[in-house]
Amino acid sequence: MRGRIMVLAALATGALLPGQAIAESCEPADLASLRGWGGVWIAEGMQAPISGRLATDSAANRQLIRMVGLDAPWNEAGIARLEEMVRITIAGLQKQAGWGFPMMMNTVAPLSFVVAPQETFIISQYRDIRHVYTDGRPQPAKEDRWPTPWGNSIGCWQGDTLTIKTIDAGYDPKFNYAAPPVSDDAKFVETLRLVAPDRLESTMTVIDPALLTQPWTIHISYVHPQGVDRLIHDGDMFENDRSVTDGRSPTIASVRESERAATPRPEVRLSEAQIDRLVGDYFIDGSGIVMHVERRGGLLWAGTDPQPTLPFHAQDPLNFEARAIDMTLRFKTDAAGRVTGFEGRGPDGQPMTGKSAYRP
Amino acid sequence: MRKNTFSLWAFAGLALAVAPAAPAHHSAAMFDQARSRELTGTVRQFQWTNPHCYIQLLVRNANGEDEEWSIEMAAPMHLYGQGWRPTTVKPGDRIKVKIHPLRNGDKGGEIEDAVTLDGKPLGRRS
Repeated sequence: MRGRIMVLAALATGALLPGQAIAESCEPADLASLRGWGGVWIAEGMQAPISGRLATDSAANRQLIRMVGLDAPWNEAGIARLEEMVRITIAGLQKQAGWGFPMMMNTVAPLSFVVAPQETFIISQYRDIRHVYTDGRPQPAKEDRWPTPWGNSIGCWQGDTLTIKTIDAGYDPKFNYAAPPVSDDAKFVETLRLVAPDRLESTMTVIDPALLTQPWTIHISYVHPQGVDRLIHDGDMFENDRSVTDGRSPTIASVRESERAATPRPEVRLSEAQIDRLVGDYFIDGSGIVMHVERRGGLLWAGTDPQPTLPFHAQDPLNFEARAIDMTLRFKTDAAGRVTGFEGRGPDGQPMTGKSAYRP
Repeated sequence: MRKNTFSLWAFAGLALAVAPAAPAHHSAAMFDQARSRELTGTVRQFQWTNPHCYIQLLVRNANGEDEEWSIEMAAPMHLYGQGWRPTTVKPGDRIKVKIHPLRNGDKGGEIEDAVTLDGKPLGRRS
């Protein structure tokens, strides 16, 4: 018991060194008594409206903003870092790859806590994951660590309370432009406890002597968000990222590029005989490469070894386009109507021509 | 003293310009949070996509011509919690939206609210 008290005291003061074990008396998580940790959680008041942004005058927004450290006890160097963070944020040109730690613990993105006997995972809907061993092991050795947006965490269950110590989670504006600009040497100590069936409480203390004049403590409550029964995919920022700049300021791209590219031209259905007359090998001029043309069902397919064979869609009996690689083929015929070759546009956008390998 | 002054300034700047930047994958700096505009139009497309959903809304101008507006919304994960689904609005639906318009004057904005023509809220509240 005394050992536990000493460990908790050390955690509270940040006295543990990175290489030290978090505790010698960590208990395996009692899964039966911790069932209440399941489901989806969100920092209280943080559930976003349909705009995705909290009202600027709301208490939740103040809490969100507070998490970036506006009222933290920064020293002069810390204030300079804070000023830089705010400047980047207000410029509005940065994008977010995720929340990262510690922001992920206090945002509009719901969380799940996955508790196993010897390890706990904290998963943010924004695709941030914290993997916390709770078996009493120390932090990874120094040569095995480097700063990341999630940091390195070890934890310890003591009854119904989870204590987590995190290091290597410095500020990286390339990952998240709005986050407390602590140093890479900052240490974070959290205690989390289920205080009611639908309420988790957390206290996070940040120790960063390089930038803070004293430990900075934040209290966070978690509740179950309304209408959310699971974590929902939050894709990467490239799926339909329409935020662009017009050369002067950020704006919304007028149309979705993928929608424009996905609009096919009308296709003409050809008979098998019309396609069969085009089937064969063609020498691509100036390349020494042979293009093979074949019919599969009602479609013409073409390719060059070892490149894959792809479908080409008819615009008329002699004009075809590949939708997969933006390539066109226009077959040429002689006076007798025999196919002699082709011209068109290659997948690199350059003109290409070829002659039929067939010699009667 | 410097800290306190800075904190107040920074709080205001963040609150007005970007701060709840949270779910959005980009800040709100492009939108004029101090102005609201109401639009009535016909849905051309509802993009249920990350990092943002968009309603492409055709709005008739004073000359009787349809102009297409891009209405930015939260990511699906947030809309889901507010009762929205991929089919909540469909092409052809007539709706009214309230937006914070783009600062640069382009036809777009950040949604504040969306209702049917008779004022019925869309999503969970409908």
